Amino acid sequence: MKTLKIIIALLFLCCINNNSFAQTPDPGLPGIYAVSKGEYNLGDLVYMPPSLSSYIEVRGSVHYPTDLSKGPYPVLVFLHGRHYTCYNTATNAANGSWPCGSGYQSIVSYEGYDYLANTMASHGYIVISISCNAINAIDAGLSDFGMQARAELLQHHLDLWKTFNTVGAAPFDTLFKGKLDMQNIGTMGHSRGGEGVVFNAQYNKSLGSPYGIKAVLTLAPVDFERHILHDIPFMNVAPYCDGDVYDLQGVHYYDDARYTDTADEAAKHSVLFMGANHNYFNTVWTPGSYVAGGSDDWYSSSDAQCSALSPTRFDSTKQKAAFNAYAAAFFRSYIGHETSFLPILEVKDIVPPVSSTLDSSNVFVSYHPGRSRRLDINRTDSLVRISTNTLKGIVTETGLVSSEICGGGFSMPSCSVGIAQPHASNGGPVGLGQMGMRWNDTTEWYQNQIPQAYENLSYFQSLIFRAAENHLETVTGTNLDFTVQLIDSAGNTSNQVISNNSHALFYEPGTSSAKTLFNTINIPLSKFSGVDMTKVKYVKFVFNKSAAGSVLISDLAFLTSPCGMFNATFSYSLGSSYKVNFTNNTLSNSGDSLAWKWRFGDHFSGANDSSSLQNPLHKYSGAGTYNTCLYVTSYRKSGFVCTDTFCTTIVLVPNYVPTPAAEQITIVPNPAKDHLHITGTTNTDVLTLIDLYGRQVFTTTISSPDIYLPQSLVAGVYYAVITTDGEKVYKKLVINK
Amino acid sequence: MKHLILTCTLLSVFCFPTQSEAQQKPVVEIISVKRVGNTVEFGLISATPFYMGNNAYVLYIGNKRFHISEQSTSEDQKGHLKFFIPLHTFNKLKEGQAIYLSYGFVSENEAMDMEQGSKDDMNRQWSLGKFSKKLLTQ
Repeated sequence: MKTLKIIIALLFLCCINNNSFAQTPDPGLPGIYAVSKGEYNLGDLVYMPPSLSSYIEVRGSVHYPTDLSKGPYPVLVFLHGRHYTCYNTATNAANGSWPCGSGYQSIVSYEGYDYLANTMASHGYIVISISCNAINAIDAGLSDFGMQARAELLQHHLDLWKTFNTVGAAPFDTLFKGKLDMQNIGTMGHSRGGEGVVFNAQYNKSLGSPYGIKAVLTLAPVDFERHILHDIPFMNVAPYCDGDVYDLQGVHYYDDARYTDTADEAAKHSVLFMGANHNYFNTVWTPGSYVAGGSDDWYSSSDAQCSALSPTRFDSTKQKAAFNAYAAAFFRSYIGHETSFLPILEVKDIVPPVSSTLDSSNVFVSYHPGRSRRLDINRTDSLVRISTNTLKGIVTETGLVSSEICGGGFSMPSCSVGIAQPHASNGGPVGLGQMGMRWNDTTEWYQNQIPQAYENLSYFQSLIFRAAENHLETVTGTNLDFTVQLIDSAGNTSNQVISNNSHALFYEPGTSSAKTLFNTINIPLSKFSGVDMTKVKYVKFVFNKSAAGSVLISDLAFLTSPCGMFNATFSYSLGSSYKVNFTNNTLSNSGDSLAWKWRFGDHFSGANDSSSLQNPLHKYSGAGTYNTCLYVTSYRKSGFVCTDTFCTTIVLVPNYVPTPAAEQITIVPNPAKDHLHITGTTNTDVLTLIDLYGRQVFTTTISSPDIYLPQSLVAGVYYAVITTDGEKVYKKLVINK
Repeated sequence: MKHLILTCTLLSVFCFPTQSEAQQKPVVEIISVKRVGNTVEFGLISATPFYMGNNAYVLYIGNKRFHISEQSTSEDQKGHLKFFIPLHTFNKLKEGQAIYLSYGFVSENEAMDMEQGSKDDMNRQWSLGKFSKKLLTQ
């Protein structure tokens, strides 16, 4: 009897809700801790990064729970982007030199994220934000735009905080001694700082991972060097009205990393804020919030979506609130392991948190699950995917005006997406392969076959894919819609209309700002009623909701729960004298590490009432009815820790005489050729083959019912000796070759 | 009809000055091309300071692109950009190729639109004429 299935992530526990539009808690609200702030400034020219030949500043701020007694706390480090570095205290004119000359003050860009630092510190994080002015002053002259130097600067600060955390040092003395968890660190970088934190995560890894970088967030980043980050949960934030990094090149971090490491278990997210610009995420870069250097980077006053006077543009307050909520969701999920916010990031709940001040037309999320949570139907990553999908199922379409794979190294113009798509590979290593489809009749459709080996979707939660309107081939202002069908092997069909599940198919607004961006659509499989989810044959897109249109899709997959295929269960066999042999039969994902805890329900046996063996033997106290439970913990490569429990009632009668072991055990086939199938054994029993001369010719532990025999074994008659529970069972076995 | 046109004209002149202002694109010119050792410094000047932002200023000469640069603001509040081109690369550049300044790298597709980009009001691309080795003044 299954009694409980839960997901535990470290100390936090919450049930994942399968329902769309669930009441997800608001991650952006202030937490329970009072917050204090500190500053440290070791000087403007005190550290020379290994990749530079000049000295730079070491300066930063820290926000922390005033009550540090409950530490160590997880750590966040923020790295600002490129901005003016100094201002004239008489005229407020800003410049980009370093160090600041006489009559000038440094611009404190690192203080521009204090609003987020406050929120996170109030939830029990120590949040460090570091100054990067010196690198900004010289990086135009560096071939990598100073990215390696940024990585080294951030690492230097971590080294400094290691000192604060261990022996203490000025200016904090021992205030932070033992208060930071340096193995649970999240980093956030804005703009060039975004590429800087990606470089730092890789640099830290190259040094042997002295610090545990567990989550990386890039905010309106550049991606000049196209480094690909794997194995660390990642989120990119793309502001639609970015007038600085106007090509939204940060989407490449997400796109490039999807399939380049087939073992990558780290989730990737990308958040699109429709009315946000580049600068308002930082209060120091926001006009009116700081004495010098601030500006609205959006360049056109006539753009319908992004001009300052447009109702769809975010003001600076809204922009910060939006980022605060989604950044908090990310860090609290992957650093704090609070799984209750995952529906926001996994596109299960598309209603934005109230604290973000957004509505669901303002924000769109892309989500790429870790490897073991996906069954990729069609990655749209090669030209053959137009006819054969990733599962080797057949891809068909009828009547489409055009359907082809483009992008991701293939010709972008072939899908007529032209220059207005940030996902274009732009000379980078990977980019986004995509399926372009254009229709002008509502009978047209596109279909992916699910081969029989994959048709059982019992362990999957949703159908997910990314999609975008191709606004270059769609009537201006038209929001498109279509129907997704699941069809089982008996021909049962169930429909879900996109617009009932997502707002992601929208006509990209604006004139100079218009650009095609992919967003994830997540449809719970539970919505496809009437279809046998153990025999799903086709996933079909029927373009019957818009008379004509053009869409681009990618990353079509089924999504499992964070625990994947994980199901605790066991079997048992009764022995004499109230002894019971238990066999763990838990279904788990390959690569997971499992731990077992048994409670036999036999309280009179004292300490022996529990066991942590995989397949224990328990001698019960006497006849009776016992509720026995197996608690299995699965440590996933993705970082999730899952538990599942299986309980059953065992009735022991007095003077029970078990069936002799010899009668319980069967070996088939007999005669055998190259393998045996053995039942009635536990996976600690041992099989030995002895020939007619009494020689032991083969021995193995029966860890699986199927035993493959060595090719060297000659045909003949043997004794199969099975050692079980200290008893030997003999069976005659014939081997034919 | 005449009144309507007049009203619109007055509105555009007096009521939306920020709009007109925002659409003015600063002129960028080549101010000097000089050799310093094994490098050629390609100096540009703008009527207003170049934006101190996060995208990269890139100098395109034909299909070659250069981004190693130095950005500064002078006391006259004009913008100054210097691009550093290795001498051997400079010597291989072909006469008559178009020179563009771009804020941000452009893809091959976009490169075809550089001329158009230099004409629109977005501060992204500027046409700087044709390349000639005679630009080298020192």
